[in-house]
Amino acid sequence: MKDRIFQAMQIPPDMARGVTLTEISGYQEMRIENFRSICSYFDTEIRVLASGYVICVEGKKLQIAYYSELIMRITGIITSVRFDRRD
Amino acid sequence: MFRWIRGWVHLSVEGSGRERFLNLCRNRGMVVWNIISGECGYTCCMYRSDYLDCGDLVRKAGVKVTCIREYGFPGYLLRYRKRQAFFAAFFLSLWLIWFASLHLWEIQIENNLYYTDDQILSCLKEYGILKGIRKSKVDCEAIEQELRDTFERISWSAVSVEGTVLKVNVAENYGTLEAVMADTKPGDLVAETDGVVKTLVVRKGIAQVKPGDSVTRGQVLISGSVPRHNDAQEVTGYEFVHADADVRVESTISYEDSLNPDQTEKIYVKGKGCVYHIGLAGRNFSLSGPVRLFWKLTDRISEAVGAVGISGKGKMSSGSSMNTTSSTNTTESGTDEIGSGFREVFLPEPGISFHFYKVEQKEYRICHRWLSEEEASVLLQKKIDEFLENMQKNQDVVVENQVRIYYDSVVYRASGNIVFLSPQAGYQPIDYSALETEGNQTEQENSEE
Repeated sequence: MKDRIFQAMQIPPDMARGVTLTEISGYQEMRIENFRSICSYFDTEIRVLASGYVICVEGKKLQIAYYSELIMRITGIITSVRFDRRD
Repeated sequence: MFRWIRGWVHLSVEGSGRERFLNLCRNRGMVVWNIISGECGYTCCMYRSDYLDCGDLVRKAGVKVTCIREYGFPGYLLRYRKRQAFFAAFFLSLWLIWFASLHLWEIQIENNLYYTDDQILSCLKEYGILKGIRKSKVDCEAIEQELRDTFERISWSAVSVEGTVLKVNVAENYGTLEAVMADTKPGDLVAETDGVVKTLVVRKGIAQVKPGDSVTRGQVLISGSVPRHNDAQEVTGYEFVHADADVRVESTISYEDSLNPDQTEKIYVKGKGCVYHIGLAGRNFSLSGPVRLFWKLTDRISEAVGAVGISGKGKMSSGSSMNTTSSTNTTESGTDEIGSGFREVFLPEPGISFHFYKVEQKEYRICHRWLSEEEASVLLQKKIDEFLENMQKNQDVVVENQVRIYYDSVVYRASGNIVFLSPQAGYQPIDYSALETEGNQTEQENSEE
């Protein structure tokens, strides 16, 4: 029901359902919006908590270029991005 | 730039709760960037103000935060907090440059050949114009008048203030002085205008006309050939003199002038805008967007606020206000152009100049106004008075003014005759051949007798 209302009002799904937006540019940059917090940060793995799941970014020389209330930008050599469901 | 003004710190975060520290900072709205993982922890950057407020977050997260280095303007002030004298001297020098730009530091005199620079400078000194006086005390028009009154040969002068330099440009007149020198060569006094002789007082020469005679232009009034007579009253020769007399001839000239009653005038409306510009090394940069006005007609007033120049050899000079006004038509889109007419501070050698000025734009409308009879009469009468005044400057005495002002259904006209008395001072060389011919004729007559 809610989805129909939001669809009729043409509200984007990330605003409607509060989903996390993930944008990857090549293999060297990644932007994450609307996330909850950061779980762990190492130079080979970054785990970011979203609503209902965890985004796991693996790679080499990973750095967090920007970390604010709304946006987080990860740079480095990204080898894989995994979405682990949180029970 | 904003980040530099606000200042930021480079931190090192160590401990098990590093991620919690990041999350706590994020919840409080603090921005963290350049987070790089290391062996013991990671390094990051955050604003200095946020760093000073995150003490409780550090305790809560149980981490150890160390400041590696401070960047930005607050860090700069902190590093050089003991260099107060340096900053005070810096601001004092800026103030001194501005203060110096309000005064006159150089007087340049150009195009003077007969009068030396020292003579003109001493005249200016007596008038109160010296190096070092405030520019607000300089009255350029009064100085121009003073130079023309003091020096005979100076017929024209232009005085202007450019930056901190007073420029005096003079034009010396040589032709007028040659005419003033007394002419003693033998010659006849001739009429310069057509008219009727009114007064005649002869000092040298023989009068050829008497009061009441009509004369034409070029006619000999006083002859410089004075005949010499023997006892028998016969002409034995001539003595040639420079004819000298006061002869006044009454002449009439016609005066004609017209004035269109449909006059146009500017009326300024509400629209006004101001754009500030910076000029650096010959290029101009606008600090704000163009002024867009609805009307197409605008007046642009360029006002220079200040200028500083640094020459290639390290000399510095400065200037201040200089206003120019120009009326232009803006384009329909209202795009403003950088005001013209502003000149940079004069630099003796090629160098860098910086000037700051504003261009104020005021919109106006052209309105038509129909002149009333009284207003037209006043304007035309003013022109007639100026014409008569010029005649009096030429030593002509106005006897009768027959000019009248009337409206002929199209324009207002001023027409009529002006009767005036003018002194005659025309000279021509003596015609010796005519005298020889006359002498030969006389001898022939005597021999026939």
